[in-house]
Amino acid sequence: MTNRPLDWPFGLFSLLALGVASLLAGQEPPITDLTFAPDGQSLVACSQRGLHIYRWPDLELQQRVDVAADNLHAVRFSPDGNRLAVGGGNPAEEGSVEIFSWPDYRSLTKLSGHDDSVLAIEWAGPQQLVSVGLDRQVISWDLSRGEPQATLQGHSRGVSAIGILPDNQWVTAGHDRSVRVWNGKSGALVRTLNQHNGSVHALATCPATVNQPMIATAAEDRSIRFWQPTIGRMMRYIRLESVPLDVTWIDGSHLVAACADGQIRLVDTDQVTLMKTMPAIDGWAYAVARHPQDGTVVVGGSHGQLKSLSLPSEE
Amino acid sequence: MKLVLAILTATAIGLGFWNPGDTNDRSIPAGATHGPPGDGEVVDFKNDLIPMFTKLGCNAGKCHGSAIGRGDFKLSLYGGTPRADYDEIVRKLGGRRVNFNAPSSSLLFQKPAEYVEHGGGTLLTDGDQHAEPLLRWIRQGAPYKEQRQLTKIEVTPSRLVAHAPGEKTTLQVTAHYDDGQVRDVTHLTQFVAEDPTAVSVDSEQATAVVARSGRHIVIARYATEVVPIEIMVPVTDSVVDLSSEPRHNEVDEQVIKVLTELRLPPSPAVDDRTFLRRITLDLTGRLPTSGRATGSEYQNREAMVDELLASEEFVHFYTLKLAKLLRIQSKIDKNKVTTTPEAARAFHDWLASQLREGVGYDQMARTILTATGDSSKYGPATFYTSAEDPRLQTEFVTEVFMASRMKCANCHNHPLDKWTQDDFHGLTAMFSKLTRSQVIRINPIGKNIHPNTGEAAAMKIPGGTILPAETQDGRQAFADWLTARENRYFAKAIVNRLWKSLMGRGLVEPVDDFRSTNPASHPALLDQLAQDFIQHGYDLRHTLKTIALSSTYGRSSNPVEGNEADDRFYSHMVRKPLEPEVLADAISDVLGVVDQYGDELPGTRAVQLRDGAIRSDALDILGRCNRTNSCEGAPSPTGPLAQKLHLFNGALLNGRIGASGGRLDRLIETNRNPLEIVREFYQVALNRAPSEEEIKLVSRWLDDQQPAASQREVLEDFVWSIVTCQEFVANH
Repeated sequence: MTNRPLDWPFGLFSLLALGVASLLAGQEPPITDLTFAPDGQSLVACSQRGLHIYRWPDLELQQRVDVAADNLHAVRFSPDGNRLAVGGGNPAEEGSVEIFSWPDYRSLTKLSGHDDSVLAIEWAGPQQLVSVGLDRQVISWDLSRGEPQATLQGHSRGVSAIGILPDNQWVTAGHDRSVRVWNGKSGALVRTLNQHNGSVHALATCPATVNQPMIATAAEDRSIRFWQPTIGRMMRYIRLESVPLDVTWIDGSHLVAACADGQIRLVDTDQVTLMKTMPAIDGWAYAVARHPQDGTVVVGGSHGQLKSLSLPSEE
Repeated sequence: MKLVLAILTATAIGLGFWNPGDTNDRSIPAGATHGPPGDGEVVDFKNDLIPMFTKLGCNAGKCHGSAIGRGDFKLSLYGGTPRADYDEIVRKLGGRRVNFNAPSSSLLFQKPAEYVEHGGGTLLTDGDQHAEPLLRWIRQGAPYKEQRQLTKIEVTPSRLVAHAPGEKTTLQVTAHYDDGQVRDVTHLTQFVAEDPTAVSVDSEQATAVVARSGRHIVIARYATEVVPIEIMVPVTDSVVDLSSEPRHNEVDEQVIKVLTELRLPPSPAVDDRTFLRRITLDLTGRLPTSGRATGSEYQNREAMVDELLASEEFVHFYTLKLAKLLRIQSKIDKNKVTTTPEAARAFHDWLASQLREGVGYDQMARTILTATGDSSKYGPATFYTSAEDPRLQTEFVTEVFMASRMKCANCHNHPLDKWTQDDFHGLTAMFSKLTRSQVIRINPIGKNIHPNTGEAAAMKIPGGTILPAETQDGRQAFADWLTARENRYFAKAIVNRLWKSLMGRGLVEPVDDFRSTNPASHPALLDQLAQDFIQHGYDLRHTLKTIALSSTYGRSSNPVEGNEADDRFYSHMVRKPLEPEVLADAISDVLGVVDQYGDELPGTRAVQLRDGAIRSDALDILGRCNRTNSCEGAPSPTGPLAQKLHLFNGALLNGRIGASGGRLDRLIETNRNPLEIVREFYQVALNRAPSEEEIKLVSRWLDDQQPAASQREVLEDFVWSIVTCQEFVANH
């Protein structure tokens, strides 16, 4: 695997393409989500083939783990890093979240309650997890009992993204084009934000909070919108040339979007300008994850493709 | 009953005769492959799967092909955009609809096989001819394959002449591709009867059974191609010998040819008086005047038609017809593009001058389409003030000049025609470059956002080329294309309207809905009329004269035994309701009492009004068209019931029949014999003398011994019956 320095014109970052780590045969299903283990030693990807555990940084496949559901859409580590939640389901029949121990991949429990596939999950605490799905439901799970704590209903179509904000507020977004803010404690809908003109595919909370929490949402209308959801304000937006399917923050003022044209786009979120467009994979790039320590981003998508692009030190 | 049918002629390709004993004989061209792709073949997403989805109804408008899809699954209507469908099926929602681990667990299979609840029901079963290639495609990795481009399909037979209802035929469809491959795609073709009560179609077996006599259409759809199959069943059992029917020109040749096929006996020719009333109303919108009371003073009918076509009354009436087509009326709304009264009048006057001077319709269209300037002074510019936005302008232009309902292509490729969204938005891009105000000028920054790309659409000739990006005004290029002699739409669109104007029904109906799936009742006749129109300099009068002098036009509107049910093959003349303006004028003429239209000068006739918005209770009652939208086939605003109630007992007639100075009043005041009065009203209104039976009937009402007031009342009732009878309110 060779690293190739890239011409990164803005002087903040430069990317190094690490190359295609996994380009499997055409029959491979797409990788739909990615996450790094908290220690940064492993990358976890999910697809219809189950979980794939890759060693970092050489991306050598270490383990495949079967998951009960046919389709997998979301994978997240618990705050303490010793459990891994995987969301998915059997289309049009049921949605579930399966919890595995980490790093030994034992299935601990399966949370069933959705009527269609779970598309996104987030941990709201060591014993609380929130899942959203195509059945339009937002379910809060009490993991100590393995049961639903609350079911929040309000989205008129499938829910595709969830983010956890400070003060126990949750943000969800979905195919009804809305972004909704919920009181995680009471389950009450706080507000609905409607500026998107297409299905919202992804949501990412900004790691740096100055006054108000900020999130980014990526939608079918090719826009990425930046919000202060707790006060219901859309701050700015940028429209891309391709549909962003996933977004991840690099720092408080930069974000990477994985797009349907197989490219990733680096956005200056303060200036809402497109800084760089980079080819990543052939087909759709469904997922992008940032390494917790070294800033590398990994892109996954069509035909099981996985590609890492490193973000070296700041110039 | 099984009939033994004879093959009447060696048929050309596509023309077949029903053979009920041979329902399963489907031969395919030499070298053509048959059926779904074999086990070793790669399944072609565009040419194998998309047609299959169409055949199963998945991408129909009532299912996932609707504008918003269904169940969060949206396909393009009838597979118009395969790439988008591929993304929707394979890529959207993380690719959840296709399961690479277990193809039969794919939602794409589970739903139509109804292993999972499916609103569309069970569409395929394990191992059937649709399930097998679908699952094989998934096993092959669900690739996007488009191995060849479809160039055309052939349907056999494309035209059938059956001998009796109840017979069954087998249909076959062959697809031709750009790589030379020819395939039998019958199993992937959807067959839909235009009227399911007339033809029963088994799409799976590719058979059709006709239920009743007449002409019927079955649509065959494979991929993006749609082809009509015309099925004719004779109306009567016995052969009709029409060899001695008069044939004045090609119109008669074509009409009689179809009548012969359908065994429809024609009605006889009308007498000169009836013909005079018919042709005068059709060409001038007026009842015959006393000078033309019988028609017998003409040397022949051609002289009669020539005189009417040369008259100023013809100019008035056909200006009205064009004004309705072009939706000329003032419209004042401060928030929208408006047509001022001056602009409406300027356009109307311009049309009248063009007709008066005999300007070709092609030249008129070019002038209108490329107009700029102040609409209140330059009439043609008014054309661009009526539509509220460029997309509506495109709909308007294509309906008027191409008789195509291209508006479907605003949201998706036209499901029944060739028009794509690029065509619609490419044409709209031209009209987006115009200011939408009283003064029409080029707006350099005007653009039309293509809904698929979110970017400004490129100007495009429909079905043709994209104009250079620097083009500021694409209308000249469009007008050149539209009025070129080889254009398939322009001439046919107008001659079909002229035909309807005289014959009461278009060769294509509705007249603004030309498409391959809505074929003409007499395709060859339409072609010939259009060619003749072009060869004669797009002269409206020439085509009107050709139609008017045909024996077809001269037939009685009274049916004869065997053609009573015919409403489209011209075995007898269609009774045409008088247009509201014509009827209003006719009532005024018969009663001898003028009507008042807005602030127009007293005596102004309804057909001469230069603005469709001029206030008139009479025209509203009689159902005049609101020219905000198309006037072709539009129901009257008041509706026939309200109109009848007004005619029964309303101010339109009540106050005017016996009005002082009116015809009846004058005749009574001059002490005319009541029966003379009756005869005069018959002559003026119906262009004939009353029959003996009618005289007897009226005589029973009239009693010389009655007081004058009672006598007058009876005569008023008689006049009322004359101006409301079917013979008066229709042209027949």
